Amino acid sequence: MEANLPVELQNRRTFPGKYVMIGFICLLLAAGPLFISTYYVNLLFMVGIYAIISVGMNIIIGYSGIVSIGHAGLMAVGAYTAAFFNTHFGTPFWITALIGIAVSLVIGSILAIPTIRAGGVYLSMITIAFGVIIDEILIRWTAFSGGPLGISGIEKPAVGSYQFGLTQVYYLVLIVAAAAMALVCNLRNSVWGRSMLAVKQNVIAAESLGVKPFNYQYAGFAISAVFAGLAGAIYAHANSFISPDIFGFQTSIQLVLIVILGGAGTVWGPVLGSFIVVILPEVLQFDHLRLAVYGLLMFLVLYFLPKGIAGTLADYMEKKKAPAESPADRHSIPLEQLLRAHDAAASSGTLLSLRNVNKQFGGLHVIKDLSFDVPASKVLSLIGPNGAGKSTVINMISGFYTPTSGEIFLNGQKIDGGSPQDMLQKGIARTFQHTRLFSDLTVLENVMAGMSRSHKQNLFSALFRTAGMRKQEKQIAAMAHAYLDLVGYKGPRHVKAGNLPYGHQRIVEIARALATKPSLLLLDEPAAGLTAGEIVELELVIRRLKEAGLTIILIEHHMDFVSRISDKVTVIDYGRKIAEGTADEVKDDPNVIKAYLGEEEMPNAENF
Amino acid sequence: MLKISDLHMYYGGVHALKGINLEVNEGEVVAVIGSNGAGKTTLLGSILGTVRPRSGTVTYAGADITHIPAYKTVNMGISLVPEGREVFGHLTVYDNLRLGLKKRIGRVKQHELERELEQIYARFPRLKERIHQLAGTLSGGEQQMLVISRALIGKPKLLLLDEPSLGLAPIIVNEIFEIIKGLKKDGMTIILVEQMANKALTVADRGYVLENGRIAISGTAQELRGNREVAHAYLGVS
Repeated sequence: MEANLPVELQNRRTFPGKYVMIGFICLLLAAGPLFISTYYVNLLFMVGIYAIISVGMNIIIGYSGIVSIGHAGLMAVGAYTAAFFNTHFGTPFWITALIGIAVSLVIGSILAIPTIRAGGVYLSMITIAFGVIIDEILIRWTAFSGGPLGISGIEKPAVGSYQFGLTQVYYLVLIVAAAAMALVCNLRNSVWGRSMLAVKQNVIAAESLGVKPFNYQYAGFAISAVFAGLAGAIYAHANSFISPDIFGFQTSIQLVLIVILGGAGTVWGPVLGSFIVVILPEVLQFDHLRLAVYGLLMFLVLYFLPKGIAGTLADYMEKKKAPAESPADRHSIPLEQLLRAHDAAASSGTLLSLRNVNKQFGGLHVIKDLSFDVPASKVLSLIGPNGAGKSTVINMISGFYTPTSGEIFLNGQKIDGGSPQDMLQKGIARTFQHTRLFSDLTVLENVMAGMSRSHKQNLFSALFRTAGMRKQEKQIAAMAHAYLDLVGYKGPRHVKAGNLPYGHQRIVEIARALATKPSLLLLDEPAAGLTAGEIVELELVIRRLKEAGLTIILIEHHMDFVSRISDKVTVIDYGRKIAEGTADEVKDDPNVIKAYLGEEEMPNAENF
Repeated sequence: MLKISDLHMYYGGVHALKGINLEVNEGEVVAVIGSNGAGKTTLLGSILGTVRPRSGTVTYAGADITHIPAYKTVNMGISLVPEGREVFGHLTVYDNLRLGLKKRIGRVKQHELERELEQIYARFPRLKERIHQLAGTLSGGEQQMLVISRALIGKPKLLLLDEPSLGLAPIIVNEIFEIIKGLKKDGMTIILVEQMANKALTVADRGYVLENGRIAISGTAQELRGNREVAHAYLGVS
């Protein structure tokens, strides 16, 4: 099927020879114990342990932008829980690992709530506090933790009566680390990964697409807690001995360093970082200077490679060759499937009404007693001087502001006061005056992010990339291409959206809003920054959408464009409606000329 | 005054400017028009020194400024009014203007500053009323005027305007173009990047049409207005 083509091409592009490389590295790592001394196998084992945790932390640091400096605490929870059950009840590793994961998940989930709510700098402070508290508990609560001496005599993992030696434990860690990487890689290329990155890059835009920021950050934190707990349990059993000083503040710092040094948000970064941070001090024999060297390393990385080693490499590779664009032979998807079905009966009346809406910001009365009706399947233009309150109106209709008083009705149903997610659910989508694309997602992924709400994936299918999920991903990608075609976007689709010229960003943002299948589309200055030729194309797109039954509210300053496309024009000035009617009626209105249009004194300016 | 020869510029693998040749004489207003992604903003950036060209030269007042960074070219008399009204929203109008002075740090004699401000007020009376207001609370038109003032207070010899009409009400757009005309009358040299090509070509002496990183058409404003292709693609005449 042609529709599948783009995704596959994209995969081929992002993973060139990657499978060969993965295979080679796995072979090398698997053969390791045959050639190197136990000392180095032990080191590699530690690399693996750190890799498992940092792969999990990569989700929160790299995808969600949450820098936790307390994950050693979560690792300790997994390790001590496993050790406790093993030494007290003789529970075997396979069970204690599960218990360790469960306890770490519960504690991590509880920790996640205040951490995410706090946000910003306080977020990291809370995780530091958590790490310190855990450290204190381990030292004081002797009955559980054995105090400063820790717990010793933990049994090695075993199958039947066969006890694992160092080599087997090493393989175990290798497999778990590889699996963790694969899961996180899957997560990145799913609704979950896109939503996490969307929230990190632009919360407001993410909310406008119905993405609830907290849910995604929370899920990311929970997954990272699972990985930390699992790594802790494996470490406890493999090492047979644990004590509080292994899980101190220094370890938490080390973990953050690993992720940032390797490259937050990249697939290979955490593994690369683990290698460097674990092996370097051993090889260079500077154990006593460890902290100082980590500090220096962190400083150098943040200064010279803010995207980490893997991130910088990826940028470099992208620079070497411009990303290949999939050919134009995209599967066409019928318009009915792209847009919300609307019944003809509803399209005759009024879709949206504002009744005596007021908005005050403190003492500032921005919108005053504003009432207007938006006829269904028509284009209403909202015009007025800069600062008249047009964007405020859009923000109220889309749920970003709540009116101070007055009512908003959609299809006769009162909707004012709803959240952006509620409004989206009811079929209201919007674009922004200053475009808010997710700059680190590709153009295509931005549009795909618009379908996060309509095409839900459960976390399990996203992590394991189930057949159903893969099929859905292909479908979403094909739809995203179709939306881009629909808005007449002709630029590259696999480049990061942040690199697009201004006008293209606007068009992509319209495609992203359409991907939520709205019945009412709010466009905030879509023609700003477009040439006359491009405006004509935009006009065709809007006409096509209108014919398909969409209702559109347009804020625009290009009067010529407004006149050609609007069925109705509402003019506001200082938050008050000063005129309403067809474009021609409004244009001749003396109030509108005085407040907004001005006298045309330039002979050549009729076209604008 | 400004001469660009065979300028090439890459963004990663993308060849953004493909051999640009352009000249601006003293006291001239030169319009640069073109569609999105044509390279207009990049061109301004390479003059100011915010982006690094791969090859070619930019000569300004006889000096090669191809690789001179922005903070130095500004002191040489080149000033940019960036796209999208980039005011410092949490600073007052006064502080915004103060930052535009060449002497950004250190004491400025009060009467000199007053004199500078008086000149700004003469051109933009509205800013006088708003001088102690936070720039973020100004209307779009006022913000654009502030950004232009901030550039002017540094006494530039070459002013780069990047889409000054973007997102402004028609009445304000007219005002902005009146201001540009006023600047022209006072002898300012201006490069004007503008989507409203028709308006741009009414104030400009000459113009360049940029397409896919190349200069496709150039000529006097009169010639460009009469050019069929230009009229169709950029002036909205079918």
